[in-house]
Amino acid sequence: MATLKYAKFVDTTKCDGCRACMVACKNWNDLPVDPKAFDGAFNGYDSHEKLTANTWNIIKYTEKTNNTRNEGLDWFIAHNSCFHCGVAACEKACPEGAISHTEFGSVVIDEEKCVACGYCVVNCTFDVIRLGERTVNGKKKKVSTKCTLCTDRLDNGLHPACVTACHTGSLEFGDRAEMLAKAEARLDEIKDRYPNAQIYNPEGVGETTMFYLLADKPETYGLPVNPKVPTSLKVWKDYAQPVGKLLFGATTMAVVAGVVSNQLFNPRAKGETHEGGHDHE
Amino acid sequence: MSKMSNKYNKGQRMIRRFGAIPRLYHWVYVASFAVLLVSGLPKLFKGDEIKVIYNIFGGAAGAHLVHRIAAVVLMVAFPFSLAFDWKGMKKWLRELVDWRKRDFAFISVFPKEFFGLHAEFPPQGYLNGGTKINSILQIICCLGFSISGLAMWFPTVLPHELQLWMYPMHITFVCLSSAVVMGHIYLAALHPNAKGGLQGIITGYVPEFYAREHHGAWLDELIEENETLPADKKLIRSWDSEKGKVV
Amino acid sequence: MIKYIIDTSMYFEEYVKNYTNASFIVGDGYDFKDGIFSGYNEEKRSYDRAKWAFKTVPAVDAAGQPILDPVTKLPTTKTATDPTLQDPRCVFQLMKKHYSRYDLDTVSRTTGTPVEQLKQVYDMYASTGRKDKAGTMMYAMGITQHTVGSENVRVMAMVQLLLGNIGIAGGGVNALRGESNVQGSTDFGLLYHNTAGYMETPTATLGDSTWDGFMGRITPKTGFFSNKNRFYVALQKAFYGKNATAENQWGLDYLPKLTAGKDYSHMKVFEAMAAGTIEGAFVWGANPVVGGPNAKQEKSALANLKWLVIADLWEHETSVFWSKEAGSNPADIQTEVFFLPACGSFEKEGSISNSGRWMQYRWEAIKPKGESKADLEMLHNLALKLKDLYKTSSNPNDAAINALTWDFGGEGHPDIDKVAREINGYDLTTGKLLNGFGVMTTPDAVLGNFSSGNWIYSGFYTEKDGNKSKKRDNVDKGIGNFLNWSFAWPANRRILYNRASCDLQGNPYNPNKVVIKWGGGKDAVTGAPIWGGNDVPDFAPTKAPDVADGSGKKPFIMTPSLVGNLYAPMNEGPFPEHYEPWESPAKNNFSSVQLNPAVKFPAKGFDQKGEADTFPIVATTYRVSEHWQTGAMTRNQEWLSELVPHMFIEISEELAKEKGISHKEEVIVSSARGEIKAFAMVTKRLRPYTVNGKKVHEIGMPWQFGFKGYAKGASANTLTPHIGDANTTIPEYKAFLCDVRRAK
Repeated sequence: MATLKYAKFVDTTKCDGCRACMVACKNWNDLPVDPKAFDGAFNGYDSHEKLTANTWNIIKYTEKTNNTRNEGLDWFIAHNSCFHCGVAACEKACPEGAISHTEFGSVVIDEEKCVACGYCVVNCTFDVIRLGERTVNGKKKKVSTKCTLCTDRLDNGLHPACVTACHTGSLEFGDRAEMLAKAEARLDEIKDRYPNAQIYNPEGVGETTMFYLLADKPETYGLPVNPKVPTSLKVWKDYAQPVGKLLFGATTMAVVAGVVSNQLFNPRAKGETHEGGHDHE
Repeated sequence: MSKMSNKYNKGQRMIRRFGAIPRLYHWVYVASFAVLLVSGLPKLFKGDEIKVIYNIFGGAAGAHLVHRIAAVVLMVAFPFSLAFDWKGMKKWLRELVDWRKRDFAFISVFPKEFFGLHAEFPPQGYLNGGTKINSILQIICCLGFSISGLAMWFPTVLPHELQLWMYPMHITFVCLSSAVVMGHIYLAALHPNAKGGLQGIITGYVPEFYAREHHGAWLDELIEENETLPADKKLIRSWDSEKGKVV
Repeated sequence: MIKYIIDTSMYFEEYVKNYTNASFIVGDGYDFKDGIFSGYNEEKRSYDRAKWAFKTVPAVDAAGQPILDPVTKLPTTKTATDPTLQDPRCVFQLMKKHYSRYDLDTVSRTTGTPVEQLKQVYDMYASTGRKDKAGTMMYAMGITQHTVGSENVRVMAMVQLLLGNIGIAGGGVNALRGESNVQGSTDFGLLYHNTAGYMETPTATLGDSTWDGFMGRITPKTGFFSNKNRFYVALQKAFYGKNATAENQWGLDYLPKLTAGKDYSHMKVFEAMAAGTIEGAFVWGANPVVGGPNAKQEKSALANLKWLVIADLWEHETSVFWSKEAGSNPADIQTEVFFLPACGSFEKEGSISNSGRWMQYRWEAIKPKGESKADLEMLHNLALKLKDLYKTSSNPNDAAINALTWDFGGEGHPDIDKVAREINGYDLTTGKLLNGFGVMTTPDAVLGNFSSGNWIYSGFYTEKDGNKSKKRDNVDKGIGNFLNWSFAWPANRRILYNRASCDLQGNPYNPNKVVIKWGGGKDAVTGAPIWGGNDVPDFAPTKAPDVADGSGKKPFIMTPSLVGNLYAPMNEGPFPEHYEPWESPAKNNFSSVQLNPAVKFPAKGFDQKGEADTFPIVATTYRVSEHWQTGAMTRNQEWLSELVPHMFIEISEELAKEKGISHKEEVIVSSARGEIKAFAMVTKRLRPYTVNGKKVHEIGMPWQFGFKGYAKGASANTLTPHIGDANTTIPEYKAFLCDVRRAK
């Protein structure tokens, strides 16, 4: 588990849904438009149904009726991208050692090492990673893609592009403790208006570098209530794979032992013939 | 195969054990299994050294492609075998569910046999207890890694929760089957007592002494049956050491 | 809300009494009956505004002696007032009477807003009518794009005056501009009836044929704009230099003249094109085939032009109005179209003025692409070409071009710094830059000794400080004023009429939010107290609150009366009155007059009007944050296009159910002007409302789509009507009637 020192704090109560974060992300990361964007499929207010290999963050818009305030209607708007989990299922699932944590808590994919097996795609707790084509060392290559938290910007003392572009202060990046304190303070401010408001920083995945202040329950935003690193992944990587390797190893050892033991105790191994037949070795 | 020509004394009685299709199936399975194992092996270890294996296939993408081609071969080989030799394959499968006292007796002394100690067991059938276990385990594993492998190939078909379990399933069955294969190769080809067995899966015939030792009960039945067969269908032939083959 | 504020006495009484014209007595000519004010000419659809004049009484001094005019020596008059606000003919009482009809129930029946919510909003906002509270009003096209757009803004100004919310920190009526440089373009005379600095364009009338006659018409006798003559002469000196002299009426003859009373605004220009009276046009940074009202008709009008020049970043819908993809037959259209490729704002140098009147300089970030050029360069080269063409002409018509000074350099990009300096203006006797417009207004200032291309900006570029629009000092000088960040006109004031933040004696109403106060500064020479504080005083800094003529207590220096106008002569009356939009499903609840009586109807061919029986649904248009204006720029940018790639309408769940329309389904929207295809976005955010007891459905749609670019879609303006506000002629894009049906 990575020790998280920084955080990208997403205050959904401040998001006005302008989608500048989406454009800033594509701009910085040089991501093309989604080829499906103009095919006539209409997604309602959402521009994309889900994150894609070319779209690393999206804004989701959810209308929900209530009986208490805002004329009975809330329009929940939330920026959505990689959470950069403290315990990242993708990192665990990757058989190539291509996924790792940086000092900023960002979970990054080494595109040179990635072989596009897609194990991370399936095992991602938040359905974030996609397979797509990227240019690696000047060549087109199929790899796993997702938000990098603009680690290349962080390395140079800048904030992630989405954070820099955000004009309402809905996205912030900084010292983790400071961000968490900010979230707590903001939660106190909005509790009256949004009784279901909560900080979403799930412990089941070792907390996340990108964490939310949600104005409503996680379900409203389509987020898992109690996200965890999949049990199957633990079974796979912590039990099945080592035990399997052990079994294979044990068998091999047994065979070696068998060969030795036959040499010692089996008369035939010493060149004695079978009854009814003999060889000419 | 010059060595083969001198393998047995002239006139050594040779027993018909495997038909052409089961033998072909066995070797197709062996080949595809080996390719699958090698092309998939780099996924089991994170070290750079093991990743060199990818180079054999021209990179990871090549390895994935070869893995999938080999997987298709492995999976379609079985139904093809059933279709072309229903009788032969049925015989094998039927044996697997036919468990008798002698099978358990064999298994109880199997460790002794394995390590080359003196093992006593009653005459065995067409398959002995050990080979039955080998086949059964291999079939279960094959089903396991085939289903999970297919799911991994097409990861959005199954419900996501189920799909997640396909990965540990694949690795479990791959490791188990590899262990079984390891034991099988040893017992069938390398073990001093197995002399003559390897030839059975290559030529279809095993020397009588081999059949007697490993499958005594079956040999008795076969000798009886052989009596009733016309000359051109005889199951017992003899070794022509001049020509180096069964005649 | 005005009625609510008055009925509940939540208005800021001291402010209303002293800083507005609430106490002014209105003359006997004013009357109001059934939606019509006195002086209405039904045939012309206009008012004789003289009928609404204030009552005047002889002006007397403290001793009761008549005050004589210093020139004519005749007794002078002044506006009659009742400081107690009790006189039934005073503005306050007339206003109270006028709005007495606007009770909560009737307003609720008219707007569809439940009474409880109206009350909640009124109460919350009216609570800012206190010394220690501020309320701000921000608006955009939702307020202005109506046949009563100006009245909507006027109502906001009145509410703010009643609550004492103008001139204070956090107050005001703030326009959120629809385009980044709208403020700058109107400051510089983009509107046809204005020239730079909000001074009137002369008309082709006998009165305007002499300088004094023209100035006599446009210059108020009192208030700061009594200096208009001086600013206008400085403007003429900037335009014509030595060619503008007292002898030649400061070059008045060189200026183009309007036909008095004629409307030269967008809609009328297109109607004139359709009528064949306009032969050529420059469409500069605009895309009327998408953005104009009744766009299909405007597109047809373009075909009557002999020539059309387009200056834009992209080949947009207007530039190819003649093409097949525009639905035209190229063979039928003889218009010769020229396209001037323009560069983007980030590819050129210059300034942009924001809603807060800050003139902020911007530098070139990247070089212009291809052959594209800055607007300024295109205009400069055009001017040089024209001057060259006419240089030997003796035709009096061409004198205006020959007289124009144009010394910004030769062909290519002009010297933009020279342009900036000319805007600021010079003392022509010394050749030095002016430090501000104040020097032009002193009693001994000689007309013709100054030049200024735009008096309101004068002082932004000084010999001492250089170009202040380039200032980037990010330090809060108090109450959030960043006085050394850029330059705000006039004179770097950030809050207009800030004298109104203080009581009569000059003490701040809210000591915690001091804008300025008397004694907030000291005279540099004498050390005597002057106005000062956290902003530049919008007031003569040395004018004490207790000066004898009472002007030290009157903050609204740009109005002739020096106070805020609760009563002001607009084209449709001195008090805003409710009228329904041109197309409305409802009957006006406040009078038998359905439509603003001062609104002019569209010309034939543009006048298709829908009725509620055929088009029962109310429609409105708007933009989305992902697309800019007509989308000419953003629909050519893939990243923005993919965010909103398709034309849609927002429709309530109730209406969708009635019409059998499901979410994401294609629909057809029709109005009397035409029909368009769009996707249905069924949403809870729109709901039917109840007007006069009847359920009314409303749909909304973005208007930025066209047939060019990555994101293509039908243009909403195919549906909108060719009618506009009675004062500004801004089209009524925001309210019209339509119908919706499934496409399949």
